[in-house]
Amino acid sequence: MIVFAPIIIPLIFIILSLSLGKASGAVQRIVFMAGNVTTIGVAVTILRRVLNEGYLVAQAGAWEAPYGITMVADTFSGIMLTLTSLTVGVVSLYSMAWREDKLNKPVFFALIFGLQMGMNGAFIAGDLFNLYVWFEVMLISSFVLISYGSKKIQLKGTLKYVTMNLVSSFFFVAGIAVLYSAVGTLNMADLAYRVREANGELNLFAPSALILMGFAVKSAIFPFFFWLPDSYHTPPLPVTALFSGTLTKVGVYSMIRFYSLIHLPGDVFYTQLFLFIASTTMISGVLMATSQFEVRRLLSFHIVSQIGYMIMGLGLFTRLALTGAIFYIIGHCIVKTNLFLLSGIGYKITGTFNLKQSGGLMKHKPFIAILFFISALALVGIPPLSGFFGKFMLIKGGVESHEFIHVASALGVSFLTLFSMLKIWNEAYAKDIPEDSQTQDFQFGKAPKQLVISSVILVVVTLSLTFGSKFIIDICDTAANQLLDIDGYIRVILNR
Amino acid sequence: MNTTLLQLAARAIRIMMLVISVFVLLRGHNQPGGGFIGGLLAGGGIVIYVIAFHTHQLLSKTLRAMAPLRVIGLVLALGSGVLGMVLGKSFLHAQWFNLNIPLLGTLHMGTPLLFDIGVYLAVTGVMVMVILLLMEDRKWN
Repeated sequence: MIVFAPIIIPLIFIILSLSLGKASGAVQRIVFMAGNVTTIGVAVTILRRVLNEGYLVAQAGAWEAPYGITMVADTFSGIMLTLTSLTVGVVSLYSMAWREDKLNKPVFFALIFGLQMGMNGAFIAGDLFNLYVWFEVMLISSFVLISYGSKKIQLKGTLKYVTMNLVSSFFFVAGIAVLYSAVGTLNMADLAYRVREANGELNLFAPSALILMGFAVKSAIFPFFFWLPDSYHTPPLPVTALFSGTLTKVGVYSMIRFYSLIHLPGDVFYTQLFLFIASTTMISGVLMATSQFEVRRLLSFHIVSQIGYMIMGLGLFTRLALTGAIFYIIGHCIVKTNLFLLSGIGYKITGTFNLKQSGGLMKHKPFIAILFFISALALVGIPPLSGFFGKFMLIKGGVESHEFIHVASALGVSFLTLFSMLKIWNEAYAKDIPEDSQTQDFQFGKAPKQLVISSVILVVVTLSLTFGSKFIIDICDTAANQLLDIDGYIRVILNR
Repeated sequence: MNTTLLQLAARAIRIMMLVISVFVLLRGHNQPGGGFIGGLLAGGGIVIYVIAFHTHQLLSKTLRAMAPLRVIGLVLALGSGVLGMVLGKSFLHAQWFNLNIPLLGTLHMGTPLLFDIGVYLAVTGVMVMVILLLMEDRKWN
């Protein structure tokens, strides 16, 4: 029964937030945080139970699989549930102290819970069409969130975001329809079972291409990434931080989940396709990032670049590489969110997101400089910080599979990532405030304590990924092993 | 849009659409129909009336009257799921009851109908809100 909790709890809190419209601000905020804490608690409980029991399966409406809608949580789902609910919790804490863009409204709280409900649903969906529906729940909330505040610049970003995501949903649904006509089922376990029964006779090229198109736009991989940097820098900063940490990961998660089911061992075509996508995504993202001076745009291009590493794990599709990819997803989600939160703190202090006009943060606020330094190095993957373990496992996996070109591009991209992190460091932290900004009686602003605290929480999580790396890698390894053990998945859900 | 023709028609259309929407809602269990379509129909009827007699007061009054529907609808839909969890085997597990009404006979009622009514109310509330808000000039500053 606990499998339904990640969906029911946010829904209850949507209702609560909407019905508390007339209550005082303090009550609304307490309910908001209570919802986040409850969701984190549920996610951690699921992760613990999954680690003990392997799989948690529930059938909605008590209709047996493959006829009803299956909800299933395995270790990978548990990790993603915990990760996203933690990120949403910290960003919620941050958004309450942001004090701009009218974020402390019941509608905003309800939208955050809606987003969380959609993501949680996508993580535990055991049915492809159900997955699509949860994607839509998530997208509808994100459409409103990305236009939240109604600034003119947001209209531009929102149009791109909405159009691209609707087009991708169209491809996704078309792919699902074609898949249904080819296989006759949409239950993921049943799908995997029939694909294995047919033993390569089924031609799933058209549906997987269409579904890949749908996932590709949502997770912003090459060549469909251009909408992301164009729209992610427009909404209020807490929303950007939330989206950058979680939304693309849902696309990557679904991609790994879906292709691990229909992926047959020894299928060179998918391996090479995903590795090609991974390398091109990494390289194009990082090259475009290096030329940016708007810190949110720069970080957005980096999201694209780092999605490439996660896809690389899918392409290699060995136990080690998948472990690396999952670990990388964990590290990246935390660190990327934190970099956005820190850029918001920098904005509060210097009053600008433009790197050329900002500066002096290291002298004025050394503590924030330290927080940024740790996060930036963790993103690049300097040992012993969190990015290193993920990249190391991916590269080792690549070498073991003799994919040297892709290993080389992964290493090269790391250097360019270091370059652009150093650029933010130099421009915003190390150098002084430029002369022409100083003339108009410039003053440093103040960052509310709550903003800094949320960032500190994420840095602590990043550091604990280092200190607890053995424990975390073991969990990731279990998840990767479960992803490769399709027969076990089929057996648990279909009982055959 | 204050034209007499539309105003004359709008009263009749509103009543007709509301009645038909309930009909569509109830027939939805085994035949085409259901809460979503019924909600759209009901919302359409209310919106036509507001368009015909468009004043600022009517608009804000309608918006205020429709606001609770969303929450009530969500509560009913969630409640039907939780009932299935409490009384049955799983979330959304359909529970059926026989309701004896004197003189009229027995009614076969279940939680799927409750779910549909929740969807109906939520869709009506959201549709009316979205369309009426789109009628205002939105400023992107």
